[in-house]
Amino acid sequence: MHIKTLSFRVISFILSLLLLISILGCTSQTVETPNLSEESSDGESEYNDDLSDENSSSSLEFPITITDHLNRSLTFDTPPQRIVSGYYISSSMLMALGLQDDVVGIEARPETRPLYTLASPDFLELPIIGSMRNLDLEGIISLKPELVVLSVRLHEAIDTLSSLGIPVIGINPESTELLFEALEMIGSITGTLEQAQSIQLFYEDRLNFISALDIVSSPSVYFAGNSDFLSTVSNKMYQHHMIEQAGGMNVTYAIDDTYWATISYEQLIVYNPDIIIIAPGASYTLDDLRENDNIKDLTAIQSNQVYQMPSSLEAWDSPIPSGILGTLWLASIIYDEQYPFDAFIEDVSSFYQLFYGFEINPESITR
Amino acid sequence: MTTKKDDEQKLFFKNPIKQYIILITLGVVVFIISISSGKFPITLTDILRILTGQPMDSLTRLVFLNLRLPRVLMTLLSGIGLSLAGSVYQTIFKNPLATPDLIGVASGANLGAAIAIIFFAGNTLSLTLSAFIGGFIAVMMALSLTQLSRDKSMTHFILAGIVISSLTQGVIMLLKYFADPEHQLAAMEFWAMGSFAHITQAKLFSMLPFFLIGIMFLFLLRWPIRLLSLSDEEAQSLGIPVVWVRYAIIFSATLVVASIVSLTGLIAFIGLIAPHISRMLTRKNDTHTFIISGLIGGVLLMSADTLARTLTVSELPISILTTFIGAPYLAYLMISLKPNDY
Amino acid sequence: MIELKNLTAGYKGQAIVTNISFIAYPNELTGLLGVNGAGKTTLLKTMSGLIPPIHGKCFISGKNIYHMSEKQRSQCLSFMPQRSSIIYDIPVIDVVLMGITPHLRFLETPSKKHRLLALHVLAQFNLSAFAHRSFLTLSEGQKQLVVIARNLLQNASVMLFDEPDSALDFKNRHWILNHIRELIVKSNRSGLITLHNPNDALNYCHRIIILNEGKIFHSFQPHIISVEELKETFTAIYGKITVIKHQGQWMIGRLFDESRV
Repeated sequence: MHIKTLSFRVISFILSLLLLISILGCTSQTVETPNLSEESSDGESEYNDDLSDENSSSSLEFPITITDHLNRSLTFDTPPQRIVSGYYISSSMLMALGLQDDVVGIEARPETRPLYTLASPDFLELPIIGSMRNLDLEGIISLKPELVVLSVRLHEAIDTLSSLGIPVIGINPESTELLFEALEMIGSITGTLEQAQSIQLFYEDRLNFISALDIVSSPSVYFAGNSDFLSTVSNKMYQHHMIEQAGGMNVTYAIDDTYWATISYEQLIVYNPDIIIIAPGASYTLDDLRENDNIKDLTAIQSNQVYQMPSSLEAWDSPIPSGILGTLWLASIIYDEQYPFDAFIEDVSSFYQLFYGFEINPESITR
Repeated sequence: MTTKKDDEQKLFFKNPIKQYIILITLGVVVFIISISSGKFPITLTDILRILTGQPMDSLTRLVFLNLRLPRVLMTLLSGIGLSLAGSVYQTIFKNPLATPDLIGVASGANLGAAIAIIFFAGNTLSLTLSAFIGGFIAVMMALSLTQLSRDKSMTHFILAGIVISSLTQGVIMLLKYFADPEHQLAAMEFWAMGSFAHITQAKLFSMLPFFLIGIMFLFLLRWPIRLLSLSDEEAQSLGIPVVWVRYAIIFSATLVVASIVSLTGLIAFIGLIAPHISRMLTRKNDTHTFIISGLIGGVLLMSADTLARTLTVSELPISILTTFIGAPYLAYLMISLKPNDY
Repeated sequence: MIELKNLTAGYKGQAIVTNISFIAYPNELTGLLGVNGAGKTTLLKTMSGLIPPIHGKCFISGKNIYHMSEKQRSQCLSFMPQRSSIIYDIPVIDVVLMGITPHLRFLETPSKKHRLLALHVLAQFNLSAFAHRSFLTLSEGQKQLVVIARNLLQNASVMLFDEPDSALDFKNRHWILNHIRELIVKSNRSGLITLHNPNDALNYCHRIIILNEGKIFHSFQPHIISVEELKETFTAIYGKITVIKHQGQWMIGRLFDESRV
């Protein structure tokens, strides 16, 4: 075997590779994207318009165009009845809107969410379509979804899916306002806008109640994160707003250059918060805190004002539909007599009864 | 003059034709298995119909042409490219441990891409260019560090690679700390373990020119590469302007690595295993050996990715598979190799 | 023929040898002798263009080698290092084939014709049977011979050898030195070899240049020098020595005191 014939063969290999690729390029251009209306055989194509009032959502007029949080517009001719949910936030949203029966694909590890087991056990049997880090594009497409809901962080996957003609919306519910935008987006195309708006009414009602309560001065609150007691939030995070809304003052309100921040024991001692709350998914316990010598002199430790957000249902420290309950939980701690914990538990019960259709176990709500 | 008796089996060099035939056949078989595996059901008949332009369900065709086929092609090209680069680095650095991961190229490219994601909104062209510049600078720094150190032996070379890798990892950690978790962090996260999950037709086309140019240059430079397996003195005395040629070779190999790594993230060990196996099989280190190492790498990575896609419900990151093959292999090498036995 | 004119060489501006001038003639093996650290290897490497000179010129066929490119230099000058640096298995024929590089055009690779040339040279050294064996399986002596074959393929008029015998045993040392001397004489080339053993220099070189403390101490031809001059020269370098001529060969031996235990 000689070098000269070798060069010929290598060049021809590279050329054949180029040829193969150009064939690829040619064939793909002649393909059209599939038509939405062909896929969905069920569903009515038109609803009657009862009221002209914009806020009345029992009337739906298709086609409906929505804009998602990536500023993409999508038009739906019929309500989507096969929905794929990309992460726990969208899954919870779909449940809150009563759409759980339409979900055909779910995010990885649904068995770790107590809410699913309690309110929507079918989720545990659904095909898994991956996680934030590893989305299974082929898996999603093979489910022939009529709507895919993903976080905006997966904008590349969103682009790829939509280039294949799959209807996908990107949501970014990082604040209460954005959460409701997302709920309305989904609600308007699935005929559940009314449900979305009732959730909003619940929020407004409870928040008004909180803001009407008196307090001499806002207690300072320190929020400790999941991985480490010294890991806390900056003022850009959802938890910061949750604290402020509940009537507290976030000790780390001045941190703005990052998202999660790790502080030192000295820093914490300087802050000397009145109340310490730890995240529902924390890898350490309240007892760990009480036994920690470094912080035994903190006001919060001395007066035993340390609490852990319950995790028996959902993690209320994220922008999920039940996020209001996190605010209320903290408010109940802060406004102790004016908003007793039992009253809070009743609010939790109503919320899940109204929007998720199941009875909670009151004893699973702890502080 | 007598030769050593225990090296009798190394006496004669096999004709590489047999090895080419076996590998190409194996490659075709693995390719066919790979393009028909995945979560979206596509049968071989479907594929044949798509390729011959017959009427086909449009979604299946789209998925095959936009996702499945580009992905498998990418695993093949990545396996070829990383192995070739590994062979080249191991030859010119006269070091059998000089793999893209260990000498800092891959983590340098990683850093380059991270910078592109943060400062240039990470569009694909800026990603590849940035990855290339990062990789190139990293290799140059590792090289300079070795030259500057008093002991220019292999150990120091590996140490230099580790130093540069650690530095780049540190900068990446810094960038991650300040990155926006909404958009930038997720993009940077998937890098650490390597993945072919995000390969689309458009991305494949965008990396192809750089990849092919790099490979072409390496092929054209094959004779100087052989000569650089000698000491710098010997190569220079044989007429090779060592410094420039080395830059050109590193430039080309890094172009290949960066074009791959900017899309897939770090894929561990392929650049180590394939060249070693190839040298063992062919018992030499010439151009055939390089090409065969590319073929071995291509087959390996195609197989690994097929497994990664189908073994578990959610995808396994590819580096897990390559590490579980590669690390034990490296351990075996360390234990069994005699000093002159590479 | 290679001519040095006022060559000063060293590293990083520090001179190790200063103001060296001499000529190595064709058909002759010239030996560079000196104790360790005298600067032999530095001088040799500078003469082959591997190290830039601090000062001075070096001419081959009237042209200054420092004004040539690496390729041009490699066409008129070959260099054999002390030890081969090959670490991967490689067929012997491929090692020899590397010597054709100076004659290849830009990006050209060796052809069948070049391969035949390489085989031819191997045959001259009776190594044809080893052509397709791995270089690493050869004995040290055979390896050195293969490297010489590689240098031969360069077809350079000047061949430089850096202590080629240092790793070899007694028998192989003489075998290699003999090959080198024969090669130089039969092919009209100029050969320059660095050695540290004065006996080898005396027995194989047509001309000897002795370096001491960075300068040329003395230069002579072994076959015409007198015993007295020889003794005087070597005593100055090596201390107490005795000189014997036996069967036409010079031999230098170290003289010991009665006080030696």
